[in-house]
Amino acid sequence: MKKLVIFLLTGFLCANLMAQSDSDTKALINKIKRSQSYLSAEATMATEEEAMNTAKELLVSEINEWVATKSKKETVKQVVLQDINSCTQLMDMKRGVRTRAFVYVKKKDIVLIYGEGQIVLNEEELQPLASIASSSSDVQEKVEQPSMGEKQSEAVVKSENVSENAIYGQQITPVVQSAKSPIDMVLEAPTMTEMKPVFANLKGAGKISYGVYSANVNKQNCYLLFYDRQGVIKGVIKKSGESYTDVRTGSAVSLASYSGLGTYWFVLE
Amino acid sequence: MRKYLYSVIMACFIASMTVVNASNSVKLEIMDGLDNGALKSKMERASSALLTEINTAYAENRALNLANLGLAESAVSGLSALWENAHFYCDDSEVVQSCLQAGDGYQVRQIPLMLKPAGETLEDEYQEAVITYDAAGQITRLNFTLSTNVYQNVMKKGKNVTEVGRRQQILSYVEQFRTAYNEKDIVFLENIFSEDALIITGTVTKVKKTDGAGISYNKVTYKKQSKQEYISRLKQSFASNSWINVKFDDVKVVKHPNPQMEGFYGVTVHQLYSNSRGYSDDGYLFLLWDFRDKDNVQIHVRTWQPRWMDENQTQEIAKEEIFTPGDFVIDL
Repeated sequence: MKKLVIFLLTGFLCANLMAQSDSDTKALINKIKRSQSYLSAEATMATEEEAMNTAKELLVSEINEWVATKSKKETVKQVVLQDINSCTQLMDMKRGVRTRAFVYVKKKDIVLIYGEGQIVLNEEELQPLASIASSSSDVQEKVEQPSMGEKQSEAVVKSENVSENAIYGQQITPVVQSAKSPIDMVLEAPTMTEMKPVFANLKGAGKISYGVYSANVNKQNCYLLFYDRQGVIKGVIKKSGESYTDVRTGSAVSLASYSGLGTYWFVLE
Repeated sequence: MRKYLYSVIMACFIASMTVVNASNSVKLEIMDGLDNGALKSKMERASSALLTEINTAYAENRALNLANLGLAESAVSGLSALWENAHFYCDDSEVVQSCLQAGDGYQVRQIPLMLKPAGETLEDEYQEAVITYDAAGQITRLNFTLSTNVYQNVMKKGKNVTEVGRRQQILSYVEQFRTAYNEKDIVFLENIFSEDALIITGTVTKVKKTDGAGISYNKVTYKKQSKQEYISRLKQSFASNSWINVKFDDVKVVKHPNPQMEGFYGVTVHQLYSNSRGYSDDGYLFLLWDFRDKDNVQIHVRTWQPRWMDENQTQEIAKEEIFTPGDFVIDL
């Protein structure tokens, strides 16, 4: 009798814990769906792989629709999910014998790349640069984070890479780990087209902060990236106080040499 | 004392399980896609009440009581017929979904259901549903849906807003067409086929070659039926089966290649059919839909071809054998 009661109680507690975990996951999914900070999609299919692939396809459609609501949408040339491993997550759970996959991405982790020579991370970066001087990790901390028990997150949340999915007629640029130093990666890009994924990768890895450089930007120590109307990079200059050094040649230069060119500032972390 | 303690623990256990099972309440929340707050609230209330009634009826194993839910007659009759065929419940107590504009009305898709057919031969299975609403937010239908990936694959081929809208309309009809078999809705099926509809059914037959070598091969032979013959057979099938289960697991939508046939679309479906008498088949259904009159959508051609050319299911029918819109000429 004693064993039977212990057995029943154990079974009861396990069943309750499983039901609680299942219900917590469903509540979390609904919380993310309601949040204005995320885009999400879900699919229930026969296998986890099918569910995951379908959910990712749906998420790509959601991202496309979201991009279409943006001002200047017609000039968006490419959409980049930066730091994909942290910005897209998958939850899976059972529905009968099928698997439910739910994927979501923070809107702030979606990088919109506009016309040649322009890199715009998101609306926040269009604000005065002084207010966005913080690193990308700071920005991410401001994003609403749904509360999730630690135990649950280990159980049901897995990082998921959606780099193979086409968005907006382009490819989501995958985040690539590279053995090269960040400055070498920047120097290797001859045009702004090649520079876009480099910046996105570095930003995703938390190794760079950057913005459009103009007369009212007061940065003492940073790099300046100059490019012409065709997007060809004309120079990468290191600014230290009031002195300027061409990073490729190591020689001192004057800003007057770069008059009329487009300019970005960037700081490598 | 110990005996008393055991009894209390057992009572708590049984009581807790009862409480867990007693909650049939479902709340549907529309997260976006609808700006009109009053309309949104109305649709949410009506949908929540409907899903709660479905779960309660399932738990109590009784007929649906839809009388006071404010549903359109089409929804009441459709749901009642569907319930005769299959019982189901909503798998989530809280459903959060977007609202889609669909023609003059709205849709809320991806309602998660667990389906238990009336027969004993099929296991519980997952099925998503779509609730359709008219412009005033009244529920007009609850249909079983195509799977999300099938729906998405068809929708993303729409090249412009008009084409996307048309595809959405086609899929909506395809979903209602599929659900009509589960509901045994002979009236809908009679209405959807045009009077002169061409119904073709293919069967695999074994043919012996005439070269004397004695080698036989399989070929598909086709039988033509009139709409009246097809509907008559369907009525017999509906009457003699307690349930019918039809699933569409792949759908292709093709615009008719002839520019003069504007509004005609070919829909090719991979169909899995089974019924309570143990019959099942696996084949390709081709439907030639006529969307020229949006208030009187018609099917002019229905063909069915078997998927497998042999009993061992090793040889599939050649893709080029499957009918397409260009195979049929309609006198306009």
